[in-house]
Amino acid sequence: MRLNVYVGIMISIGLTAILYSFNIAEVNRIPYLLLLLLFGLLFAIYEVELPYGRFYSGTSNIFIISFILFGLNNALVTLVLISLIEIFYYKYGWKKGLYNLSQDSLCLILSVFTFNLLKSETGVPESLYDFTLVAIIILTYHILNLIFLSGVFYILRSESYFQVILGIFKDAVPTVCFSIFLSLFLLSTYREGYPFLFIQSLLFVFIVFMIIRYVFQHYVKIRKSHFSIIDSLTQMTDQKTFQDQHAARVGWISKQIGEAIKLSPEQLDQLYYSAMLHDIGKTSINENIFRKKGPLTLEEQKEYESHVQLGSEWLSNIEGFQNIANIVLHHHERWDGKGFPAALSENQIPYLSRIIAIANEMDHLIRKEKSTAFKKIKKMAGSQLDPHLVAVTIELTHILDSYEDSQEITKWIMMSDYVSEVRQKVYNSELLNRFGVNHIVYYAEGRFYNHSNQHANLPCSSEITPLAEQSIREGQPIRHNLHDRESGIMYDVYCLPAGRAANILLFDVTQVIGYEKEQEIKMRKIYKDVIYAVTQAKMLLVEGDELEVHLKGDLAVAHPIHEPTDITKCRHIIDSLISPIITDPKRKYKILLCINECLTNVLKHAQQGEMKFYSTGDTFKILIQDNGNGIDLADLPKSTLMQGYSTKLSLGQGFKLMMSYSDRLILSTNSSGTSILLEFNKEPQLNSSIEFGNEGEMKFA
Amino acid sequence: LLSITKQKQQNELVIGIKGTIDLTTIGQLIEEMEMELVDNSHIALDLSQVELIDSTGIGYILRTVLSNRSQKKDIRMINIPEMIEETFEIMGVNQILDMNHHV
Repeated sequence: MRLNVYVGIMISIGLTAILYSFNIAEVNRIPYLLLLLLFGLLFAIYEVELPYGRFYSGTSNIFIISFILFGLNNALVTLVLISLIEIFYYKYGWKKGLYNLSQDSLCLILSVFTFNLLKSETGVPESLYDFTLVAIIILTYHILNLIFLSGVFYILRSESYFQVILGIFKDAVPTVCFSIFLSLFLLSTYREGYPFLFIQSLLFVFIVFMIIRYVFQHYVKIRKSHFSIIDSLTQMTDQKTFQDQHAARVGWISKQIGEAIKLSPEQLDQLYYSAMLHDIGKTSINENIFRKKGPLTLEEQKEYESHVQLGSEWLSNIEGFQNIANIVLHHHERWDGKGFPAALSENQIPYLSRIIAIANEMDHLIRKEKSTAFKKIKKMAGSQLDPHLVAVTIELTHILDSYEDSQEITKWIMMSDYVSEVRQKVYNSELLNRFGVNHIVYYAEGRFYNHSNQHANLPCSSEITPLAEQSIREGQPIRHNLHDRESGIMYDVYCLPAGRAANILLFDVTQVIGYEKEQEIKMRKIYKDVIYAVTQAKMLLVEGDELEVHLKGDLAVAHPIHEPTDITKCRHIIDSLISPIITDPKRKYKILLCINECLTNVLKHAQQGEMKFYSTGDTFKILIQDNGNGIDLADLPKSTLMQGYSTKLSLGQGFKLMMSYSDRLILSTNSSGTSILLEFNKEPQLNSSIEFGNEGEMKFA
Repeated sequence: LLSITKQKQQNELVIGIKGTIDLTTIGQLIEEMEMELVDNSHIALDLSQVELIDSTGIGYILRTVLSNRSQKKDIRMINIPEMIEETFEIMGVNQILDMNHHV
């Protein structure tokens, strides 16, 4: 509303001033005027985008030169025409267009007024005094312009007018100096009757202008994308996929291939960035998938495959990264069309994606076994990988050598790759692995913004501000611990400078400080007690060594578990061992089903394990151990007690059956493996057939 | 492995399964089912000859039944042995099938 009033007033004053000052009879020197108009238009169309989002157009110089040479009337004609064409060209709304027209006219008319106070006649400047006056009029023009502009900014932002104007003036000093220089240069080459000389200097100025525009354009572009890269990278919250500089090495190998096939510098850049960021989507995938040693379930596989789409989506939001997003999207396609996500084949796959696919495989192969890497990659040519590119790759023997001296490549990566360095720094913190980022914000000029550029509220903001300022000043990342007294939360704060702004990452580390271990022990104990009680003493949770205590009896059989057929084998073994004693077929069925479930879990969630069978006076004990990642305690109540499929159609349904069908289940689990001891009574007990699950479910609901 | 028999009864294909349905045989079952689901919209799984079915097998059948409902394909289980019925009960299979039927 206030803005509308301001704009309305400016438009009416400006238009009135034009009408008042304009006298059509005085319009003369059409050819020169047309020339100025032409160049004015060129300046208007080819604006220079300055860093930090402002634009500089050379048109004001044209208005002032028109005035000096041909008087106010001619200058106004130029101004109005250029403004009208600008409205059309930039598709401004009428309000914005008329406002610009009025603001420019007012600046021109008012600065002409100042000029007239000092000198009555216009014309080609000759003396030093004349040139000084020209400089003054230009300066006045720009000062007025900035004052009017500050009005808009003042209304739009909620800073004091003084602050706004100060900020704008500070930014404008170089452009105003440049304008004065340009105009004086143009005027000094103007000679009555020598239009070509004038055209020449106009052209020269225009070319200089174009060069500046080009340089700035590049600068701004680089700045923008650099900013957003770091922004996006820091959004990634932990190290779960950062396999020891895999991304950096894939970037390096891709670049070697790219150079060998003579990609253009622009393509090389794209290739390098895509390769560096090719796995960025993995950061949002459940980290258990990456830590998992066994094969993935279908659902896990689907989730895993989604990382290309996620990564691509993020990257497509980055200015100038649309191509890179597309390259990343297709880096898991296969030459034979069996890849994902789009199942493209051969030349349908983006060229640069095919290179990354090779580099990705190369890095894995070299890490596994360097001497066979080329042989193995050759085998993938034509099926998984582009055969032509593979042929190129295996010529590049220096790729292998570079792995010899890992120091060297690390140094190269650190030097050439700031992004990776920042990412490394963020990730290398041990604390972050367990805990997610609580806040990621962007700090600029005393304020915090979230990733969608809205103001963000941050705990401890008054303490973080000086840290952010310091990191910007020194150009160095800063890490600091803060204690929020209000909430009692401990934060680990990271400030990562990015030009005149900084990215701030806040991690809640309250639990880490000192108590982490105790907490876990306490939790386990509570779990143990609760589960023991809820399962009516049927399930016992024990720590590693405690399991031994329960392993009484004679070891009858041990059998390894490596592959699915072992399930059948083990089941048959148990079948033959219990058959003489367990005569009830229903009971036998239950025991065998239990064993089957337990064995299946080994193959699904770990790679291998072992089954042992013990017999005591009145029980059978079957111990099944694996080398998997362990069961997350938090999942235990759900996977042991709730009715199998009423929760999630994936993990741990078997647990429910084991709980129902065994007489006792002792579980020991940690990150290096899981042991399950299933006990069955030789004689059925009266209470062994209690319908357990429903009770458990009720208690936990 | 499983031995599988197929018999067309009116417009329903009855697939008889004999053996143990678990991780070792699930691949075979998936293959058979995918093949038959192409041109049959009514399938009955005859479980009378199944010696043992574990949560992997139950999970697969459940998923297949549910995911094919949206395509108007009807898969049902018939002749379920008592022991397997009991397992279904513990796993809540019938509840899931009924619940999702009305949605």
